[in-house]
Amino acid sequence: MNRLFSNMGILEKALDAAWLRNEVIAHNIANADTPGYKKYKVVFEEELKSAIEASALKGKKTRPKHLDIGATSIDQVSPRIVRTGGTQMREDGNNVDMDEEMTNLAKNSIMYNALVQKIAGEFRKLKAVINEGRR
Amino acid sequence: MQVGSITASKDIAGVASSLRKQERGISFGDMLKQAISDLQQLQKISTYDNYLLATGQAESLHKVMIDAEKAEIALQFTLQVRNKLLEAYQEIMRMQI
Repeated sequence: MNRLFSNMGILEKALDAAWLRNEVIAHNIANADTPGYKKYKVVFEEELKSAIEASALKGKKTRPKHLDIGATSIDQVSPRIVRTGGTQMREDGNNVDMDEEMTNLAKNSIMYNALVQKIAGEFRKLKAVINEGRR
Repeated sequence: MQVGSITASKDIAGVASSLRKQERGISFGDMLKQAISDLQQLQKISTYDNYLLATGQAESLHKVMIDAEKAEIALQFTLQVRNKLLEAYQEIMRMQI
């Protein structure tokens, strides 16, 4: 049954990431005035890309205790939250750049909408194929 | 999408031979085959766009959306053609000779 939705796995992952990124950005904006706060970001796209590209190239495991070499499968890629230290915007050590956060928020919501439309389209196609087979 | 052989229905009651030769020399079967492989191509492009979109590599959003709509419309069209073909087949089956 899962093969039915194999096209959607990647979209689901991306939607998870976009949702999480929205929360992280909201968190950053809420803490824009907290002294010493360092902003967070979501790392996902690059990891997904490398996982897909390298899924053809995998280390062979001859013992069950061996670690995975190369990319893990796409299922195992999940969005991660990373704290960005180092930079500083103000005297109190806070590094939230409001302009940057707002830009990312807008970008992320466009991305989210696009992904939602795309996955809705996939579902529509599946339904059409199932329902139209009656005659 | 895997569509099983439709060619089996070509030989029903000699209808195939009259359909096979059309004015421009393209057989109906070939045309159908071409259309289905076009559909398959569009679906593949749409799936590849999913990958581009999810990994943030899509160069333009509108292209992704247009490709998705194209794939969906091609699919709907193919389904309707299939339904019509089946209807025609059933009509012939019901004919009293």
